[in-house]
Amino acid sequence: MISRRQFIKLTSSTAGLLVSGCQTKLIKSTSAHVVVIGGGFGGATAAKTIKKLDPSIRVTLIEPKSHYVTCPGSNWVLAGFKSLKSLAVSYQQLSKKYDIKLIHDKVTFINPDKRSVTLSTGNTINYDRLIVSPGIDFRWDAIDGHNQSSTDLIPHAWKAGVQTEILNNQLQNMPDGGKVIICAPPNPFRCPPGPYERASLIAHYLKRYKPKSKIIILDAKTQFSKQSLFMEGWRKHYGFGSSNSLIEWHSIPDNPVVKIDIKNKRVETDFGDIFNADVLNYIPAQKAAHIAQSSGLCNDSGWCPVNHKTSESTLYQNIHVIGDASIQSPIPKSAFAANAEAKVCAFAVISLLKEIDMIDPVWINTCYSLITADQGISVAMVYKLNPQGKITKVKGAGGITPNSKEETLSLEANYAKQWLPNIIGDSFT
Amino acid sequence: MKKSFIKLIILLLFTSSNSIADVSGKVIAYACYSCHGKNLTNIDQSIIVSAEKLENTLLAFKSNTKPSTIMNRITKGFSDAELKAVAIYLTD
Repeated sequence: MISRRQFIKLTSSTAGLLVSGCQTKLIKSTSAHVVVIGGGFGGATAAKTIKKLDPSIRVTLIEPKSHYVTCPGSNWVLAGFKSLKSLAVSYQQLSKKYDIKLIHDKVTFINPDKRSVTLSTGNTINYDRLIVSPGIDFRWDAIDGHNQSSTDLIPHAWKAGVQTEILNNQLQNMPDGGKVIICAPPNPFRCPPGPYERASLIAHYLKRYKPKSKIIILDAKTQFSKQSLFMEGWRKHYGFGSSNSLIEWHSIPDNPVVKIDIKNKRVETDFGDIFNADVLNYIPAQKAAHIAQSSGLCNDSGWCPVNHKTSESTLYQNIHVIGDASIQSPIPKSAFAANAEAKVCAFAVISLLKEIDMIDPVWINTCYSLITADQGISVAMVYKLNPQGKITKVKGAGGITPNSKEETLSLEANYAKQWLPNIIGDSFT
Repeated sequence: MKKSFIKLIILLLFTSSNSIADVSGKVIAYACYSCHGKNLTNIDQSIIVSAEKLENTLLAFKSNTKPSTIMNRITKGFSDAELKAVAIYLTD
């Protein structure tokens, strides 16, 4: 008598033999070299997953910074729930535990023909397959009077770290009765619920310490992620909709912010409307990071088109693009998504290197946001490939927080807080 | 003996989809780790003592007989066979 588990193991391994017997290609043992550019959630997860699935593959991770500060959780710093320090992750454990070669340098050039990358030191590294996970850059050309050099005065805080600190200090130093303006970017952009979680948590801080203040969101969009849940939370906790609401949302897609007076923290819209701020958080429109642009991995949209099954660039062979820089819509640009895309990419890269069939991929994305310290909301989805090979939402799956009962939102907040260390662990350790 | 061997072969042929399901169990499991971590530490440990128990829990989430904030939404993205496969992989 064999147990059910043994039986399944027996049948699956025997069936595996039967299947592999039909294959003409032998499974290659590989000493291939995979190079990963970018040590965010996408790059770190890709490097780790490849080594976990096949330790014989050599993996090199190239990332300029010695530490990564996670964007998830960085809004929580503004409400005082987290210290910025607690969001910093080192690459040492990842490198040691999985035998990943770590190079703290910047890639200046990708040569798809020679399959090599050039570092700022001038050194060249060859790859069999390259995974590019460089994140985002900003479209400074969309705005007059403000650019990279003035972000110490007008922080975007859309890459966590120093920028988060600048925004936090400005909020701390703002007098009661001050005005915070958040300029939310047009689609597509990193972390769709991010600007609205940020508004919630700044409101949480202001309500307690500077209750006469106000947050104005100037939005390039007509709607936003988890809008109904956010607005319900704002109504309940921050007087949204009343005359003394802590948060106002102005949707101005036809009258966008076009000019910033840095010195006076003043924004001007296309029709000449003026908004004065004490703290101005301008989050620019976005595109794939510089290395993706300069290497020709982007199309006219400014993002990188990829084969959805393998995440291999449709413009260059042997180069995969994952995370925020890649076009994997309807999957949003999030840390969770980058982690999911990295895993699918790792399965794909190994299949391609070994010349074996790739199993069908699946992606899960869940975006948690906090409204207060103990009230949270989420949106989730499961994605699979449709018969045309495009990523598609699975019908009937996913959706937003099922109801707005206090106990549900309290559980969601708890899960949000548990989720963060887990995804960091899953990606970086 | 011969009869039972033939039976086994027939069974293998009909259950050979298990090998695909078993592999996809791994892919799905990797997706689970994003929230639950490699050791599934934030799951009621009594659920992951057996594949059967985990499978039944996942199916109960899928059919809404077990209420939750998030798992009802996630499990609906998978076929019953996929939930079985991931339950087997995660409890192996």
